Amino acid sequence: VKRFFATFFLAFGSISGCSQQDGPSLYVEDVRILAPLPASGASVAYFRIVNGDSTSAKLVNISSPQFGQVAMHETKEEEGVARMRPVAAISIPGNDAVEFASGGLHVMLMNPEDELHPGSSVTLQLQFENNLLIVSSTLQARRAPQ
Amino acid sequence: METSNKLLVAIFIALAIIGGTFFFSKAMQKQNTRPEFATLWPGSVQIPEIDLTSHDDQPFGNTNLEGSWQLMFFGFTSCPDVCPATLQQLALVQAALSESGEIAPKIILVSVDPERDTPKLLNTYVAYFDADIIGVTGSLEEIRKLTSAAGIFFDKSYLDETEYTVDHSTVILVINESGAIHASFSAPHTIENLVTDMPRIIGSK
Repeated sequence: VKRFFATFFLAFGSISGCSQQDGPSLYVEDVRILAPLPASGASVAYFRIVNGDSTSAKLVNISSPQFGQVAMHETKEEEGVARMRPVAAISIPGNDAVEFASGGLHVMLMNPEDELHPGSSVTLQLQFENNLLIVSSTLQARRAPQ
Repeated sequence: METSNKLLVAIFIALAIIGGTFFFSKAMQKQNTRPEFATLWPGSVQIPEIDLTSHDDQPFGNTNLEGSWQLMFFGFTSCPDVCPATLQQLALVQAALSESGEIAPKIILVSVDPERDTPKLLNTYVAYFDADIIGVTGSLEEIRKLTSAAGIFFDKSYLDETEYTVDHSTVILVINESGAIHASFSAPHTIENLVTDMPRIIGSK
């Protein structure tokens, strides 16, 4: 699996299980940020957060310098009806991973600061309770899931 | 047993085998041409008289639904996840059917957010998908006429004090050449399922 982790910052305290030899215990991989839709200007980001530490990590906020508004949402389909709801925080259990994917958890990116196209660089700042992950990627053209 | 009786028994057995094979083959053929993933709507369901507006700011009524097969999806332009993914799937279904020489249905997106989805906005939106997609909007009352007949649910849900999303059914309707609801696909949708079933649905008419 291609790891798309970019930078890892320690903001508060220390993180157990993280060393130069072992690599970071908390990281983001398989990042896909889709180009904004023409009418609403909304983009969407998908990725997987992997927590290799034995203790859980809590994602409490996501921001991006390229977008004025960023929110975590979850789409749930029940009895043939899709309902999207905001999510305040996501807990990633120890030695586990949480997937942000189409039709489920996703990051909605709204109010782009500049005109963005496929290939434009976008940075996401994932604020956890005890640390901060910064992920950079380029916008992808939207393609249909097969 | 006399020779003539033996002959009669042999002929009877041979006819039984031939007949059985014929009926089994017919039964299998019928089974293979029935939609595998879609649900047929027995007798089709007529859509009540509607007065909507297309993305090119033209009146869109029942006559616009006649004369061709269509795949109708309900969504809105601010939807970041499910709606664009489904429209992209439908665009690929249309292209795949066209390339294989089958009848390629038109794609119709009916907005369930007419408050924000003006014809102008829909025009920009549908052009993005590089397919023959017709965006349709109108008054809430007119849209409800269509959704009620089709059993489509939609409702506003506020994300905060000002921003809202729209909960909506994810079913894809198949509209026949008479402008009636002929079949439907329930989510999760795949390109393969739609490409497999559309010729069978059209053949079932």
